[in-house]
Amino acid sequence: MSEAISKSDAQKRADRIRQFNQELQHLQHDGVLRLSTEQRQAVSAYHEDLLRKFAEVFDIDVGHREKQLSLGMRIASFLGALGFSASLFFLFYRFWGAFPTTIQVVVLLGVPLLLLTVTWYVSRREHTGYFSKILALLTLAAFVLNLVMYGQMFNLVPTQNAFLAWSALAFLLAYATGARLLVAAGIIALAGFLSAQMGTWSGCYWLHFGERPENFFAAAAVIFLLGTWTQRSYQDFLVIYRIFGLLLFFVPLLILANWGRVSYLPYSSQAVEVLYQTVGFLFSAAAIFVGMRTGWRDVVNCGNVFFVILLYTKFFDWWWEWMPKYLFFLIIGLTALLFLLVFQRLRRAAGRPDGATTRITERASAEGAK
Amino acid sequence: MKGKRTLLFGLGLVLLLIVNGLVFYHVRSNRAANPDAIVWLTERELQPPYWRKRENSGMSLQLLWRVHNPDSRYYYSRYGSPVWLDREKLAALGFDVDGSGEREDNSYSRPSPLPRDVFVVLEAESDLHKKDISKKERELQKSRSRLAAEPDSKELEREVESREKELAREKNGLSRLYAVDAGLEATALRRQYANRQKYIITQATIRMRHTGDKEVEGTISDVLVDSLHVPLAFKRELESILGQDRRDSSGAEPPRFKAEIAYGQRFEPWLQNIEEIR
Repeated sequence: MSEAISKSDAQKRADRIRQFNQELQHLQHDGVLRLSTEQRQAVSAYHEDLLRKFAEVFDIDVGHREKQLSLGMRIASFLGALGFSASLFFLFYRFWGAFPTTIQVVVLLGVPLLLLTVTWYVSRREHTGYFSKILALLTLAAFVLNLVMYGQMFNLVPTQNAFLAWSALAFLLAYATGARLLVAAGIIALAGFLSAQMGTWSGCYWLHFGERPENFFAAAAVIFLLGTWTQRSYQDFLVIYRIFGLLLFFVPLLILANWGRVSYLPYSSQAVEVLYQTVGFLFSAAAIFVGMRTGWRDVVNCGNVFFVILLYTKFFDWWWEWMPKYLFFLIIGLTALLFLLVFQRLRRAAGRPDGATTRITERASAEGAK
Repeated sequence: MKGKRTLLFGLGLVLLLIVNGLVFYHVRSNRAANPDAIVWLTERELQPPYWRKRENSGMSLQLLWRVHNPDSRYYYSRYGSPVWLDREKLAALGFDVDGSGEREDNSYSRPSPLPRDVFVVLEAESDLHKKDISKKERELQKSRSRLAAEPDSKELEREVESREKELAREKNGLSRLYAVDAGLEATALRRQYANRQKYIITQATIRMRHTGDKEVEGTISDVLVDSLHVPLAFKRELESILGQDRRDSSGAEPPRFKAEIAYGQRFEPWLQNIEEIR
């Protein structure tokens, strides 16, 4: 078993073993395949050994019922992390006024340090990762509280650099504990920092960066590129980078495609809107193409969703006012049918050995084979 | 894997310590040398919280500043455009007042430039306050004259009453801290406004908007630090002063306390002292 394999890879492999055994039963029942006793025992022993090791190292779900319970545990872990983080904030706010500045500083610095140490200790001892993930999120919450409260206590001018610091800790904790929620938190904080930085370079005060959606484009590019890097043990994280990268690109683009007046570009609102609509269609189509070539389902889905949204908002602009409503919705329905036909063709192409879309399946198989 | 994890936690620890160290360094360098300004402000300029929040035991004072513009349509003129923030000043602050980058649309569909951060000068116990009192007195006089011409008018009677209250608030309750200038260089502003007991230099954001073809208007959006934390030592004292609750809801009562505020080398303030006004 490779050291580089992640928990998610191990889980995928365990799922495939379960499916393989089910299919093998059918094949044997229908008389398509007959394995000798030695072969059956060899396969069974190999799989049992593999699953035992996976269970030891990663605490994966071997059975269907375990998997359902695991989902419940993940939800409970998420809610627990949010609850504890909120509790930490309110606890400090409730009592901080009763302490002198020195004690406040000791608490604000000491709590994240303590939580970080406890997270490290727990992460070394548990396989599931549920508790260390809760503790990691709590550590990040304590660090956010740490800087926010310093800002209040010492009357500091707000700075976007705080987002960089939060993002750095979120990423470190995410990679240390395998918590996807923390990757998302890190990405959001990093996007906030980069976008604010873009805003300041254009001359505005950083807190107003959100008023020009173009400020998000550089952050979107950086975050999407991070999702294309090979991170052997963290395959699950790549999807999060790519999805956030695309959201950070397409959502501002959608705003600009409809409200061109908030753009930096020195053209008329209408010209800006047409430009961004064109860019939107091209990039969403490109996302579908790239996603299919590389086997990134998430990129294909994002491209699809935004292509459809852009198309429907255009339909609305063009026809909603003057067209009878039955005709408008008929066109929507017909467009959906058209999409269905296109996807059907793509699906058939995926079935052909030389089809480009087979790469999605191939990639999934390749990832699983690790 | 475990070694890598420990390394990541170690980096997290280093990050926490470095960031905290940087904040302490920043605070220390702000407060280390002689303060850039030390001013005494009263409750008129430092508003205590209206009510104590059950979930927040901390206390802060809101810095109330304002601008002077005799033509402003705003009663409390923080939101109006200060007289001095004209076209030339906006250009000096980096705004593109000529609209060289303007859209091909008409001016109203053109977005306002985003706010820029600058240094503003706040004048304590400003003489501009006297001008605002005179303005209120003239308005009251006008209303009284109209009432004298129509003595049965209930509406005018109410107007006079309202003007009297406004004048009383202006004289006793409203802030006398006025934004009087702005610039990109704090040192240049300090040379111009050398009295450190009267003029505060602090960071603020200024917004410019197009009000018509080639016409622009500037406003101060925010003073970046306009909330002053009250440390525990002063909090108890302030609570005992505020506990006497001499103020009525009209806001025309005289202030109950004064506070010494220092602005450091990084133009960030802190509370140095609080005294009761008897």
